[in-house]
Amino acid sequence: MWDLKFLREKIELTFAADLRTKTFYSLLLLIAAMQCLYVGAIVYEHSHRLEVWLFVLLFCFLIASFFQSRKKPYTVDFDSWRVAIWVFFGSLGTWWLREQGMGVVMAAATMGLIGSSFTLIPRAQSYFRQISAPVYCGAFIGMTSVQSDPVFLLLASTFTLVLFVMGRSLIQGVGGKLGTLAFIGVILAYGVHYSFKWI
Amino acid sequence: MMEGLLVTCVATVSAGLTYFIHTKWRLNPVLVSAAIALLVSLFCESVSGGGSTLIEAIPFVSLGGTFVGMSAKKKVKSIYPILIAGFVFSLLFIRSSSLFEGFGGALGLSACISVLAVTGMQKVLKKTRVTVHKRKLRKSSY
Repeated sequence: MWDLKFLREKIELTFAADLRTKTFYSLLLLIAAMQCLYVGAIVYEHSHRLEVWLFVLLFCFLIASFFQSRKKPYTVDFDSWRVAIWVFFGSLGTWWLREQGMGVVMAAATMGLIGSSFTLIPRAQSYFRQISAPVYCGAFIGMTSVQSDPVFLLLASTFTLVLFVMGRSLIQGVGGKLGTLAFIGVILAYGVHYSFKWI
Repeated sequence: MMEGLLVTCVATVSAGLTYFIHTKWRLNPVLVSAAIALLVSLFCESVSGGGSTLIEAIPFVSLGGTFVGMSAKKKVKSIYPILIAGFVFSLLFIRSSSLFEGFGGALGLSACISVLAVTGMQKVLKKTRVTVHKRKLRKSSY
């Protein structure tokens, strides 16, 4: 006899795992492209200087780092949206602090301290211990000076939230990961803003 | 020249200090990074009189350096790659492109590039050393 429930569950699991793997590699490609674009822009702008060869070498090592193989297989895992939603708090909080006259770095650092203050509480729930990262990530979005409109920040935060949820198992333990996700969110929001302006 | 040297020192020291504190005392890296960046920016604000460009840039450099130092011990085993990555970050900061000026997260992106490039360099050099050693062993066996 066909066990339809078991079959449906197996198909759903396979589809979900396949979808996660695809999103994982897509996001990895996006991050690699953004980083290469950043270094490439430096090389292009400073091509007349002698030290540009250092950046070319840096570019090569960056490409090499993306092709490093791991002995253990990747386990693609998504983050919880309930944790990632604190990105909005970080971005709007930083924006508000800047509106009150605080410096950019000071506002971002203050939001980072607020977000990570829960980790100092000895009996804090594991949920509150996880919110420091999305709050800090949101603070980087709030550091943007390209557009100081809160709607722009909300849009960028939305993009970053999606990337944060998908990118849990991506470049884990590498410093600057949060900033990278924030940067991509801001770039995407700027692309949307620029497209509407052009239309 | 002196400005570049100061920027490099600030980035390297921030990176090393952040890594040391969060690995030695097992504190949250976000907490350590935010605390160091806040202290440096408060110091720079108290020192700056008429808006010097260098004094305004130092908090950004220290913030970016702390991002480099936020790397986990699993990924970066010792402090020396972090110090090199801090130096690489300072180069990226000094020669940053005007195309991405004002974009939030650019500091973090530079920090990520620095850390990935240094870890990539480590692995490439390690593989090169192993290949050269194997070739030497084969030659000596004749």
